[in-house]
Amino acid sequence: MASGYILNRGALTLGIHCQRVCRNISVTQVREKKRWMRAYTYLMEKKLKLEGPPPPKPRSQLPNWDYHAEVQAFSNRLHENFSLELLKTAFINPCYLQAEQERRRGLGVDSEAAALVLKDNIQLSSTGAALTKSFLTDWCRASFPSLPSEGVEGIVGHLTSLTVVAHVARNLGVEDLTMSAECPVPDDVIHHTFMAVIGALEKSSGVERTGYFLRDFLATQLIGKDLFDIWTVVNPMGLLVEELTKRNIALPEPRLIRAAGASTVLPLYFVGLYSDKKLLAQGPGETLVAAEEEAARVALRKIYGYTENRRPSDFSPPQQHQQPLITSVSSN
Amino acid sequence: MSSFSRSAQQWATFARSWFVIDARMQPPGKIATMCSVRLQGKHKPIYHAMSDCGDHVVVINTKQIAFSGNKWEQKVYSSHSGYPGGFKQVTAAQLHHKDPKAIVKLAVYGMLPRNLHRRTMMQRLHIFADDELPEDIQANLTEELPQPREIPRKLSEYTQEEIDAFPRLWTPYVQTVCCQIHTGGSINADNVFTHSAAHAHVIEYKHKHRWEEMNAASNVLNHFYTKISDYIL
Amino acid sequence: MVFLSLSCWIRSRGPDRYWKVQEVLKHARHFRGRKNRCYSLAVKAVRRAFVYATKGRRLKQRNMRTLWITRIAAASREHGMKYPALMHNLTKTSIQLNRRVISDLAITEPRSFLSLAKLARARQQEGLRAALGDGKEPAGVFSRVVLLQ
Repeated sequence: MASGYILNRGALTLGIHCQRVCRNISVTQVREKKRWMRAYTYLMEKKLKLEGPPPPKPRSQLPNWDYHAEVQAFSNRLHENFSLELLKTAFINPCYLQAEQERRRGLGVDSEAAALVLKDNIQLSSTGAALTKSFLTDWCRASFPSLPSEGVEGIVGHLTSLTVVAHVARNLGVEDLTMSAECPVPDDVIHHTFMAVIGALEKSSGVERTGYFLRDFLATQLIGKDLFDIWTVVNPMGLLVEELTKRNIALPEPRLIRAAGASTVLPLYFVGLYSDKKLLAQGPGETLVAAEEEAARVALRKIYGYTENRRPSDFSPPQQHQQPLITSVSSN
Repeated sequence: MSSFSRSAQQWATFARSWFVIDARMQPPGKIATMCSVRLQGKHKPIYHAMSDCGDHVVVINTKQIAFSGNKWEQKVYSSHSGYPGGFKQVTAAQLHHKDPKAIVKLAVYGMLPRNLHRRTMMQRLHIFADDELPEDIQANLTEELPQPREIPRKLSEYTQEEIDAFPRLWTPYVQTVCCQIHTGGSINADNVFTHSAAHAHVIEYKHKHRWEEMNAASNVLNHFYTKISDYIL
Repeated sequence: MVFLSLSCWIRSRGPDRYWKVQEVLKHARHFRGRKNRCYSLAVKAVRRAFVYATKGRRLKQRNMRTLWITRIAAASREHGMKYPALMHNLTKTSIQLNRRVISDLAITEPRSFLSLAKLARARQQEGLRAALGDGKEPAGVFSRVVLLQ
């Protein structure tokens, strides 16, 4: 024991001596005791605090990325038969082409020797956008037959808006595949790309198949949305009067039907709209004016067939649509 | 059916209703149960203890509440001021005489959960001794709640035809024959004159009593739910 | 000259306590007072907190169930039924909805809840009428009362 102690002391003094004197000796650590870790962690934390988080990198610059395989997987994931050439073209944005050419020029690559033979997606995107608009308009007309054209425009405008399309595209994984100049792909670029993907689908699988794609991915975004959140109507009462005169129904009469806490700061009024002594709609509100407006909105929703308890839209898959009909007939 | 906008739906869902309860000839405990349920919001399917969804309750005619049994004399309300000799005890009758709102208020307060919301909920309870409401409260009211107990009729409220048509076990001979009501408990006494005469045991006695005296005596028995005004005055 | 064996002679200075302390303090950073930075106080508080969390997992289930029951009771009283009657008759009509779903229905789909209440009411009356034996059925229900006759 004593000899061991002396040995330890000797090693200690020698070790300290060596650390002080010869810095170039690599001090191999004892296993499982990472003494450098604490200082290093502090350093990295300090760095993070000073510099902020590092800028996001596109997925294509991270390891384990095979662009061809990813594009094919994208196609298979959606159960669509994309032509891969078209699909790859659809992901190439003009901004990416420009940036790439700039980069090559900066690197001094000869433009003729290594020409950038890539087509951008402007053509595909314009066809896709046109198709989307026309299909969604038709779909809205078929689903909500009594909705006026302004309402249909409002709904289509909402469904093809930047935020909604970008949300859908991001959740389908378009962002990683998009060739863009900027790294977190901006909304307008991703919107453009998604429209190009739709255009590519139309060219590969035909209009009908694209219609189902749009119905499944874009039209479903309407679920749980209110009509007047999508379509801004400033004067619902005026619109209601217009609609009722068009249909030869007597004009609405607002009547206070229920009230609570009228003299408090939190009053509630229910206003009913009566047309020819029949209740059209009723609506709650904080003031009489707000309640009347709400009632008019409820009446409009009823007239346009966009109530909360309407029949759900038919999102059944195309092939199976026929089969239950046949089986039900045969079973009967 | 409700295709309301979200904000309107929210406003309507969390709006506070104003209930009225008429406490005339009602047991204060039953009134307090109804009040405490509504003050806490336990009558709503959206109830949550932390969401403060209780309603307002207006109780009127608390001067006319009715205790059963001998509670006016026996029920004791105690309080202690914290100082030596500060222990006070008053009977229900005395308390009611001093403040006709106090009994209902204490009953509701005791039925509410003991937490920080208790005082807030009590602020939504509006008690009035009479049936006269101020304008601002009258404007708020939404609903009147049914009384938990049916008000029994007094003998004086019956018309002469009804009294004559009521089945009798004996014919009261004025100033000649007399009777005394013999009952198991005072509860059954009103049956003689109001509902089912068959349950009451009537024994004739030789003592002579006037019909009017018996009428007056039965009037008290008639309402085992006694009004304090009958009692004190 | 390289000494490879030299570093192995350096005395091991025991375990690095820092990480062990951090493991505990990590769970106590949001506590109030010195508990969120002093190890000796934090370790006790964290231990208690974990015990409460374990107990709370059971308590939460219990509390949620009472909340659902309160809500269903409130909603069923709106339709003039009492909670025990409603649940008993729903069980008898073999409706296997649990209390969470029924209370959700009562809040978000009052019409569906109303139909459930009506069904329970019909079942209640059916039992009574079968016992009375007059062969009548509750309105809108075709049931085994007729079949039994």
